Amino acid sequence: MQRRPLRDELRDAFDSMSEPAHPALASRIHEEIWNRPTPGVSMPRLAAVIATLVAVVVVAGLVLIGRHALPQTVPAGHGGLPSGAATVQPSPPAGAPAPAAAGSPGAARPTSSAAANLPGFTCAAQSGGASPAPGSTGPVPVTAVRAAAQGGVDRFVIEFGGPVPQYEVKPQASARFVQDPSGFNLSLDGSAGLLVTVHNAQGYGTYSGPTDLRPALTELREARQVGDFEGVFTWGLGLSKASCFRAYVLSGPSRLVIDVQQ
Amino acid sequence: MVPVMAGGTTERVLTGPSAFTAQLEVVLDPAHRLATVMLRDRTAAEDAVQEAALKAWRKYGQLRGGAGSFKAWFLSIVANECRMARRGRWWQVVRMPELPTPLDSPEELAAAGDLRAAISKLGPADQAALFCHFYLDMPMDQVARVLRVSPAAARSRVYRAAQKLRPDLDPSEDL
Repeated sequence: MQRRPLRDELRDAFDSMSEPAHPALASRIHEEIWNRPTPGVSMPRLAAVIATLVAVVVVAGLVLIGRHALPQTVPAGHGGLPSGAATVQPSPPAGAPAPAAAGSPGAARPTSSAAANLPGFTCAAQSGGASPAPGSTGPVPVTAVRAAAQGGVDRFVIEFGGPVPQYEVKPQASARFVQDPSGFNLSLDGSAGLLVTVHNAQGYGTYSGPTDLRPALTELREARQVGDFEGVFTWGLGLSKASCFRAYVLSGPSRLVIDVQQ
Repeated sequence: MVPVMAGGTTERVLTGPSAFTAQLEVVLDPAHRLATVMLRDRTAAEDAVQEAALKAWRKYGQLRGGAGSFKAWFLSIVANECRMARRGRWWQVVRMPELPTPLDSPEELAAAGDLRAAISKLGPADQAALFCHFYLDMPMDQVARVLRVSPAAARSRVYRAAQKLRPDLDPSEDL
């Protein structure tokens, strides 16, 4: 019996044993290769990429550290300033009342001025207050909070057991506030608001009065404590409409006064 | 400047990934068939071919010669991958039970008419040599490149492997 040539038998055997490549294999390989750098230069290029990444991370880290370190050095000399206002805050208290021009942040209020020297009303954010004394430690205690109508203005007062710390008063277009630190939304009576923030102050343990005042005045409808956390003492004022106001400091006892124009 | 730039562009085209994948596409099918013959497992074969392709891509810059040399060069990488895969311990453990045959040697299997089982029993170099020579019709000098041996050694490798499959092989039969 004549056997088939080995070549033919092997061809058949190999044909039945082997399988053609699946198309997915080719595309998988293509994908892998296209995602790899060119051969020969792959290692130097990889090293360059890694070196660049390391350099970027180091530079970014230094920049971030520098940015965070800067505000921390300011309180030592200036005290409790929000970083944005740090450069415009005059340190010595001026004898004359601060200019009433809109957007004049950092106008230091006279701590001993009489009512005759009260500033004018403005409708923009206002700020002021004293830097903490060099030897002082801890936040200034809050002793009283009250609201009342007085001589054509609706007055909101925060009384302190020490010099009035840095504060800012920001108008806003609604009477909704975000509680600090819970993040809860607080809706106050009224359609506009003022956010009163006092830095380096604390009501906890020293102020036991109500944290939600409803004087129901012409303008000032409601005042509510929004935050007393980590030395930041915050109240929200609900106003019946967006109104101009003045914020200033009185002494004996030391207090922050916010007059809302009726 | 223009000739220099043109030269650089040509160089990049010749060594770039598109040139490589174009050449690879032609030999991918024979490479996969070789791997399935050597490993008898499709998944393992695909892994071997893929790994070989990536190794080839890394060494592509060192390749000298035309399209014919690419095929032998790539198949030699594939054969080497398959050899290493078979040498792996998992292979011994996993693959052995899947060959339930009372016959041991390729000669006995071939005598029993089971040529495929006999091929499975061959060593990796024998399998690669027979496959390249008889199935892919590669000339002996190309088979030698796949096996990374001299053409004379490749010729005797093919002949002895064929003899294991057909002990009464006529030496005059055209290999």
